[in-house]
Amino acid sequence: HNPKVMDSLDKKCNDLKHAYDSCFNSWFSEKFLKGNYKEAIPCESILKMYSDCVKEAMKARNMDPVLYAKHWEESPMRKFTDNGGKNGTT
Amino acid sequence: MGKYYETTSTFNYAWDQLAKAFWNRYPNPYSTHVLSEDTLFREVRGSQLYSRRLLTKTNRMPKWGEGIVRSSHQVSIVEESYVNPKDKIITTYTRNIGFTRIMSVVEKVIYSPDPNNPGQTIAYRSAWIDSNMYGFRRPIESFGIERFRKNCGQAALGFNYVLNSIYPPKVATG
Repeated sequence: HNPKVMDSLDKKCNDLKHAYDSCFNSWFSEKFLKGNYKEAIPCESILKMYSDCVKEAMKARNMDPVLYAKHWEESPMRKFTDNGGKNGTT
Repeated sequence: MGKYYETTSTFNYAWDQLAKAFWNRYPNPYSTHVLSEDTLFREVRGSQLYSRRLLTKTNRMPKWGEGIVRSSHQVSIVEESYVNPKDKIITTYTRNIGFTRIMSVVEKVIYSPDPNNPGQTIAYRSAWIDSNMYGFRRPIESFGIERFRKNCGQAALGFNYVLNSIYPPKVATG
């Protein structure tokens, strides 16, 4: 455990997570924030391995993938769209 | 039904600086209750980056709540976010999964530049807290609001801590 970085749900996914995060972070600050929206996110193959590892870990913990894949608009979050403008700007 | 809460916090960093630090705001000394963080899904939609992440946190309950909630001490959170560099807006939607009958906390945060000072970023935070526990609804919601209020302060302190370590404050000269 490295106190400088977050752990994954399962320690066995940590290496993949950290490899993916550092790859993503450089793309995010060096490309995306600078306006290169069209360029595909690199590290897709690491993300695939990493998210497979997390899915496996979720399954082992009886976490229902359907609940986690729901979009905020179909969850209780819809309150933010129909609370009569209480939510400020969007 | 449920309780609504909103608050704002100001960061002394420009939006671009804050955005760069956004994915690294954990860990920090103020978020020791955050146990894990994972990316479940991510894609670019137009000029926005959509991400769905899974966080697990320790589930702190008051003493009187321990009789109601006997199970796990961990709670799972889904955080959906949109980063819009064109309009300089980050929006996050966060909700807890599981234990939602006891307490459901849904939160929306918008990070955008301070209209009066482009060197600062404002976080507009709003939340709904609901409980469906018959007979305990009101005390649980009140506890939830109180805990949420505290956590907002901790979240701002934690993010500021990370920002300070990435961008050490400039030493005044002359």
